[in-house]
Parts: sequence; structure tokens; C-alpha cells
Amino acid sequence: MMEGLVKVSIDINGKKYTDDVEPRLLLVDFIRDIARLKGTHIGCDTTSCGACTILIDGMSVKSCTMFAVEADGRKIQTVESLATDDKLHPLQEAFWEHHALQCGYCTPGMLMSSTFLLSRNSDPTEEEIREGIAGNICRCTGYINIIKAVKDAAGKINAGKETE
Amino acid sequence: MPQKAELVVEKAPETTAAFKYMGTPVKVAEDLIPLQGKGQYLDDVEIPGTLYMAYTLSPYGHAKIKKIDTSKCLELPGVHYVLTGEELKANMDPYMQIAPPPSGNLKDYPLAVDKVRYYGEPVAAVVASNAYIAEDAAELVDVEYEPLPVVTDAEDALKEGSPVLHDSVGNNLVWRGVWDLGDAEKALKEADYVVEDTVKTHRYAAVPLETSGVLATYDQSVDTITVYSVNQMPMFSLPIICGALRMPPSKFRMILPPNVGGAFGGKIINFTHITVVAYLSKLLKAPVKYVENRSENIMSGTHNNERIFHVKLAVRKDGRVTGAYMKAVDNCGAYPRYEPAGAVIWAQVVPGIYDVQNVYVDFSQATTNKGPTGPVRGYSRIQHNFMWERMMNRVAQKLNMDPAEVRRLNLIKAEQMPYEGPSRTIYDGGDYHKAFDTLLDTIEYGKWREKQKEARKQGKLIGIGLSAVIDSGANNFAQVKIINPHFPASGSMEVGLVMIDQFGTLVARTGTTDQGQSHATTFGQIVSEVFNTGPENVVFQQGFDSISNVWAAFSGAYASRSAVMAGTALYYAAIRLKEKVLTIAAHALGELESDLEAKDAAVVSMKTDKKLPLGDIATLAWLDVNKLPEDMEPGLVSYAVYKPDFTYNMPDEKKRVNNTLTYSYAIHGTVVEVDPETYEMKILKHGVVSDPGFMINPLVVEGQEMGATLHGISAALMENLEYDEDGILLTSNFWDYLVAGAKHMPDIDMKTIVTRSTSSVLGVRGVGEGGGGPIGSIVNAVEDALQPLGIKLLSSNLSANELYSKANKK
Amino acid sequence: MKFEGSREVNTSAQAVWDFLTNPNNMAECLPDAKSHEVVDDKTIKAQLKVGVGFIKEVFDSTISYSEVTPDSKDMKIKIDAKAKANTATINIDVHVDGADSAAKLQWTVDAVMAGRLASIGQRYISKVSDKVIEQAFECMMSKLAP
Repeated sequence: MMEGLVKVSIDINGKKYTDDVEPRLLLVDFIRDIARLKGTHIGCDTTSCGACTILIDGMSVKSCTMFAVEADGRKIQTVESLATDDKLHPLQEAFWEHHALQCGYCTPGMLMSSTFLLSRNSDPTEEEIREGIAGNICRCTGYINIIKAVKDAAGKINAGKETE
Repeated sequence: MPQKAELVVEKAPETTAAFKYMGTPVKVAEDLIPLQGKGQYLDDVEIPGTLYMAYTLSPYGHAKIKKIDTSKCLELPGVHYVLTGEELKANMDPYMQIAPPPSGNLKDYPLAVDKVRYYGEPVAAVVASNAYIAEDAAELVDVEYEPLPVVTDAEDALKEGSPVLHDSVGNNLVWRGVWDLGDAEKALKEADYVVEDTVKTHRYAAVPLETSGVLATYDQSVDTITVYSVNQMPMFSLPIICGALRMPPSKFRMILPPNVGGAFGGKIINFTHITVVAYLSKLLKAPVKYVENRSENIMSGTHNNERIFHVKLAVRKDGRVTGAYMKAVDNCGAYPRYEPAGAVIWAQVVPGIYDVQNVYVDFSQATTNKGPTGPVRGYSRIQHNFMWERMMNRVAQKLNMDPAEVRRLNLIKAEQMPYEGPSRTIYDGGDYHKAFDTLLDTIEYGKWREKQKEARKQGKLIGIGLSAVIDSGANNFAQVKIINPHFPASGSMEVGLVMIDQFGTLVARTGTTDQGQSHATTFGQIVSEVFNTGPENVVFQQGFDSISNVWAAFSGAYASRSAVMAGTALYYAAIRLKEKVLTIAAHALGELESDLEAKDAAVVSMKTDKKLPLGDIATLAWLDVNKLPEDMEPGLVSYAVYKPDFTYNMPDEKKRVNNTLTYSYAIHGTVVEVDPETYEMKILKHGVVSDPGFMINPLVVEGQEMGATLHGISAALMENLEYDEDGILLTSNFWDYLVAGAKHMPDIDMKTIVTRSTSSVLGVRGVGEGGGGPIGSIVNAVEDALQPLGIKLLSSNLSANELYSKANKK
Repeated sequence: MKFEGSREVNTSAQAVWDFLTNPNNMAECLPDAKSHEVVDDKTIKAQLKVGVGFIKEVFDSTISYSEVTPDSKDMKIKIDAKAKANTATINIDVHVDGADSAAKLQWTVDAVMAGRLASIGQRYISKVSDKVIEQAFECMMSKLAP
């Protein structure tokens, strides 16, 4: 091991990625450059924009606020985990239905924040959705279609649960 | 290219009912890519062995560079190279200037030479083995500065004795021009009232969520630099870069990745980054990558034009405005990199949305110690529209009239359409009164005026504001000749290519570059319409590559041109290709072309019901070519270049020209409540009624209008690039430079009324920039709310802080 | 950015003046100095650690005296400070007067900051500079009149 490097092992979307990294390596760079999952984006350097939002052990986190070493041994979900077997997640379906994205750069972060929101609150009000994505900046859509999409997805997920 | 000598294309049918694929809110297929994290944006492009670049930035607003010591920087392990302005100056020419001398003598390089002129200006470029080391190393470049006096205000910059930014120019004037249209002086003389005021627009930025970036690599085997960038007008920027680097454009391959994370005008003057990274990649014979960090993007990634207007309006007793006389001074920032184009682009909307034929404008633009300006969504028209909307309220105040009445009285009438403005802009149809009345209904204008009366009795501050704006689209480059008659461009054009591959799939390409405007789906709908076949049979590949894509020198996505320009080019190309397909099918089926029609990925006979799939026709055209009609050129490729006729194509001696092809319009109405203690502003209602012309995909068009509304709200209430007296930018990151989030965006009541454009082939108007509609309605609403306190507002940006101190100064 | 301040101390004006004009004394009173070196009777070099909010920087600083006028007890102190991506130039005019056991020290400060700290922390800088300068003079007072 090179001097000063730290061995880090992170489970991302069910797959384990292990590497020797500098202690100052940001988690977002681990995800993008070492795990080579490019769906997680970088939009600022002040943890303001939310483009890099992921889930760590189910909690939403801006992956630029954390060092990779802090995520050692933990489980991470990124946008790439949402669709399974080519079937879109209900949030992805709803974002598509409502044209809740234009350039798509904020979308992965928006989806992860929304996933977290729905995991805590299965039937959020419009106000709660706005609160839930308050840390994610979108410069294209004006948010309205995103809010509609999250509301719609929540309804569909709940309807699905009832019929089960 | 197989094409017929003459092409007669009728304008598309008048009603949407005639269309099957165009005019419907088709879900956007390309949305599925970023939704699953599968998009490829610039920073996702990887080339093995890539080195990373970071800039050393100026900590001063204005300072002489006395010495640059790179020794400490070069000692850091992993550092490959440090580039300074001195080296660049020896190896490149300064960028071409649009303005003629003396301001055309200005020397602009991508790294500061001899002195820095704005806070955050790149001074050195450091190349290292990874991005972390590059950032560290950039801070180790030791620059010795001698601070110089700073000027940040454009009017101050034009005063005698002001600090001068560019010694080669001699003063700070970039360009001055006078428009003397109709007879404004006479109008003022004969007016019942002269309404006079000063209006200011503030500085903000485009800030797309993805910043600018460049990846360049030099390929020795073909002596070509390949550049991946996010430039919005790649083929227009190319000669600017190649001219400076003294190399032919054909030795420079421009690529845009399939996804670009928004632009809003802010990805045009990033040609400076492209120049530096391209230079370094050739010098070091290695791929070099640079991605702006957010601060760099805010400091120098395109600011909009700050402008101050001193206006006099000639007004009749009844509220009719008969003339306008104004002096406007524009703040260009440190370097004119697309400027002074902004000094003529406002003239797309000389009378705003109003019927005013006597307009006098004395326009100047000055360099100052602030970041460079350039196109930002609504480029240069936002300012002019805002001025009109503030002045219309002043007229209402002067005459004690309802601001809605004043506007309605002055709006251009439907029967005047198409309307020729005083500078020969041709407003291409529309019913402004209908839109205006629809807006008043939408926001329940009358009801809110009643509520306002009640609220005031209870000490509540509620205000209602209106704003009616023109949002011009698809520019005519000839307007730049007003600034410099030798500027080598006029008109506009775009290219469409439609082909059918060996298996019968329709393939479409054009030179516009998508940054989130859903081009693939929209353009697919056009090709689908012509071939009467579902979008699943049409492939439109996103991204751009100058060696494999079709392009015109004007290619790109800017100035709200894509649907109008590329849409038309593709429509023509598809029609040409369909003619050939029908000819081949007629020959193969032994029928008359006039009995055949294209339908569902095939050609069918209306007479015999015989059917020939496009796949079979493709086999004939590409492979079994001896079966083609005699003398027919094999292949199924069609190409069309669309060059619109602007009617008044070139500016005359009075600077009159039709600046753009289409003029969409939007009416905004805002109801706000201002907290009487904290002066926080809350939007209670916001309505928009716009007329985008025929909508190829209403889902997409409405999305663009909504985005433009967000930008306006954010600009009026939040975004502000604030400099101190030393030229230090105080809002250089997302902590201080606040952009609207989900909690700031009110519900928007949005409606469209559709009248076809009388100038564009498909009846569409360029949309998406929005003309800054919400800025005017918000500022007017807040001033209306504060009317009991007698507070007058000046600027296009409002903060509770500022209102509080205004209220407490009294 | 300009600001001013003053302090009274129950010792003689001459004592304050003598203390102030001796760089060895002043060097001991530099707040948050990581190191310092008295170069000559008019110059101190020091590494000063300054924090604005959570941004902390170590400035390589040169502190120099000029226009030292014993008759009127006026002097100028100039601080040139440089750190990665930040520079500061601070000019302080110092004047001492007052009665025997009630000296008065007055200062006016003109500070020019450039760089990232200036951009991010502008709203706090005057407070921080004020505090740093107060600390220096406070230290001096305590040594003069313990």
C-alpha cells in the first residue's frame, strides 16, 4: 500500500468496491471514479445543490460532504440501483410521465432525495415534498413537475401496497 | 447529395387537427437515459492517461501582475506543467473582437497578461496527474500583484478620469450607438405628460447545474486536436478559437457528449477554457481535462448585462404612450467576449409589446472590473422589457390609472399583425389583448384589487404586478453589422439530415445541440409526421461531432432557434427523402407516385393496397441497386439547409433590420404579500399566459416556459452578483449566490393561447428564454404592495434587507 | 474597509509610546502568531493565523513601522499579509496622547482584503479585524499596566 493511503471497502448497489484511497478522497469521487458509477453528479463545491445525493444505510446524504473513508463498510445506493430488471422504479416512471426533468443533471439526486422522503413518509403533502427536495437544485424545470411526479409516485406505490 | 434542384415546400397545414405526430404531448424518450443514471455528461467522458487542469485565480478586481513564481508549484509531486498568460501571448493571437477600433484593439487572452481585470480571472493554468493535486498546485503559484484603482459601475467607467481597463483601447467605451426611430423629440414636445424615471437591471448569472468543462486530446497520427466540450454554438466558437490558435478549423474536432446539463446562454463564452485546454493537450501530447468548479462558474461563467436606463416617455392624457426617449448604459464587465452584441440585441424588442413608433435610444456599453458578460437566458431583451414594464407602471401612477388599463391601451392590436416596429422588426402574429385578458382572468385581477383594499385597511401589504414581454427567437446575425459593418456574418441557417438505414430505420441529424430541450423527441415528431410513421421508427442521436454530424457555421442551440431553424431544416430534408422513397416504391410496385403514400414505416398504395416496407425500399436503395430506376443515385440520404428570409435582412443606415424570425410573447401577473415587519416577500399567486405559436410537443414547450418563469423569479428575489468597492465578488458560491429551490417556487398558473407564427414554416415561435416576464411583474407587485409606505423601487433585484432599510430610512 | 478605535490606560503617554515603538514588545502581542521574528527596529515578520468563520488561513506577514514621530506621538503601522489565494494590506494610524496617568491610544485602520476570504467572509471581516487589533492593543495594555 502506498504511504498515506487507506484501504476502503464500500458496498454500492449490492456490489463491493475495495481500493486504497487518500484519506481526503470525497465519497462522490469514490463512486464516480473508483466504482465508475457516473449517475451521481457534482454540481457545486459547497454541498448546496444535491446533485450528488445518495443513500447510505438508507439515509440520504450528499456524497460530496463525506470522505470515502467515512463510508468504509457501509451500504450505499445510487441512482443506478433504482430500476430493476429494466423495470423503472415508480418514481422514475412518474418523473417520465410528468416530464419532471429537462437536462437531467439534477435528476439522480432528486430521485434519491425523493426515495428517502417516501421511505419516511409514504404519503407526503405538497409542502412536505418541497421540504424533502429543498436541498436539491434544479435549474430547468421550475420544480412543479417534480413535485407532481413525487406525489403521483407516492400514490402509485401506496395503491400497489394495498392490492398486495 | 441526392436532392432535387428546386424544392417547393408548402407551409405546414394551418390546424393541428391535420397532424398526427406533431402537436401532441409525446413523452420524452430521451428522459429515460438520465432517469436511470445512464446519461453521459462531459465529466463522465474518460480517456486513459488524462491529466487535470486547475486555474490560479486573481484575488483582486484590478491589479498589475508584477511577477509570477511557479517554482513551488512545480516542486509538488504530480505537477506536469504551469501555463501563464505570458506563454500564451507568445503562442496565440488575441481573440477577434466584434467591435471596431478603438475598442476592437482590445487584447483578450484566456489567461491574464500583465494585469488582472476582475476578481476570479484565471492567471495561470496548472496541469497535474489528478484533479486534487492540480487544485493544490494552483494555490502554490506565487503571484505578486500591485493593486490598481477599481471601477465597477458602467456610468463611472465612462467618466473622464476613471481607471481604464484596457490601455490598448484608451478608455472604457466598448461601443456607442444611437437609434433615432420615428420622431421621439416631436412626440415629447407634443405630449400631455412626460413621464421620466431611471430603471436599473442587476447582474446575475446563467448557472446551469452542470458547469462548463473541456476534455482535449491531441492525436498525432492525424495532427488533430479533439475537443469534448459543452459549448452551445460549437461551430461558431470554433473559428474564434482556431483563429486565436492559428490553426485551421478542420484540424480541430469538436465533440459534445450526448448530455449537456443545462446552458441558458452560459455555455458560449467558455471558448476561453477550450483554447487553454486544447493548447495544453497539444503541448503535453496528453489528454487534459478541466471542469469549472461552482465558484469559477459563478465568477466568470457568463454574467448578464447590468444596464441603467434614463427614460422619458411621451404620454397622452388618455394614457397612450406616443414616444420614448432614453439613454442606456450597459455594463460589459472586464472583457467583451460576445459583447458588444448585447448592445444591439435589445433592439429585437424596441417598443416592447406596445404600439410605439417614435423611439430614441442612445446606447453605450462600458468595460468594468466585473466578470465578463454574455448571453444569459433572455439576453439583453430582459433588460429592455423590464424597462418598459417599469415605465408603464410609472405612466399609470402619473395618470392615476390602473396599470392594467394603461397596458391594454398601448398593446399592439391583433388587426395590426404582422406588426412592423419602428426598427423594422416584424412581430409574427398573435393576439396580445386576448392573452392579456386571459391573464387578468387567470390571476383574478379584479378580485385581488378588492382584496388589496381590505388588506390595506388591516395594515397588510399586498401588491399586484403585471408584465407583458416579447420573447424573440431565431436571430439574424446581420444585426451585429450595426456594431461593425465588417462583421463577417449575416442571416442564419441550420442543417437537417434525414436518412434511412439499411434496415429501414429513419435517422435524423442536425447541428443544434441539446441541453435539455428534448430535441430528439421533438425532431423525431417532425420526421414521423412527414413519413406518417411512429417515433419508434425514428432514431435521433444526441450529441455532436463535427466530423460526422451535419452542421452549419451557425449550428447550435441558442437564441431560441432550435425548433424554428433545425425543425424546419429537418422538415425539408424529410420531405425530400420521402419524394425519393415514393419514386423508388412506384418503380418497384409498378404504380404511379401520386397513388402512393408513406404510412407506418412503409409505402402503401391508396389504389391497390399494395405495401412496400421501408426496409425493402432501403434494400433497393443501398444494396440491390441495379433494380433502382435508371439514372437514380443510390442511397437514401437527404440534406437540407434552411436559410430564412427575414424580409428586412440587412440593417439600413437607421440601424433598422428584422433582428429575429419569431416573436413569441408572454403576460405575467404576480400577487405578493410583504411582511410589514421583516419585509420578507411571499408570492401568493403567479400566472403566465404565453403564445409559443404551434407547439410541436406541448409537454416540452410548457416545460421550457416553466423553466424561464423559475429563472425570472429567482433573478428578481434571490440571485445577485454583488461586488464591493474593491471589485471583490461577495456572492461567489451557492451559499451566498442563492438560486431558487423547491420551497421558493410558487405554484404557477400557466396557460397557452396559440396563434401560428406568420414567419416560420411550421408556425412555431422560438420559446424558452421567457423575456424576463416574472421580473417585471414581481418588482411591480412589490412596489404596489409598498405603496402605502411610498417606497419607490429602482432595481430588478429585491431583498428583504433592502426593503427594510428603505422603509426605516423614512 | 475603514474602522477606528481607542483605549485609555492608567499610565503615561510616554510609557505607551515607548512600548509601542519597540518591535520586540509588539511582537509578543501579536494574536495567534505561529511564529515571529524581529528583523530590525522597524520590521517584524510573523506567521499569523486568521479565521473567518470556519475558514482558517496562515498569513505570512510583514509588519513595518513608518513615520514614527516622537514629538506628536504619531506612527503608521503597515501589515502586508499573504496566504494561499488571499492577500491583505492593513494600514494603521496610531496616535498616543493624554495626561500622565491617563494615556489615550487611538487608532484608525484601513484594510484591503483580496481573495477568497474577502469574497466569502466580507460580512465578518471588519468584526474579525477589529477583534484582532483589539486583542493586540489589549495585550499591550495589560503588559503596561498589569
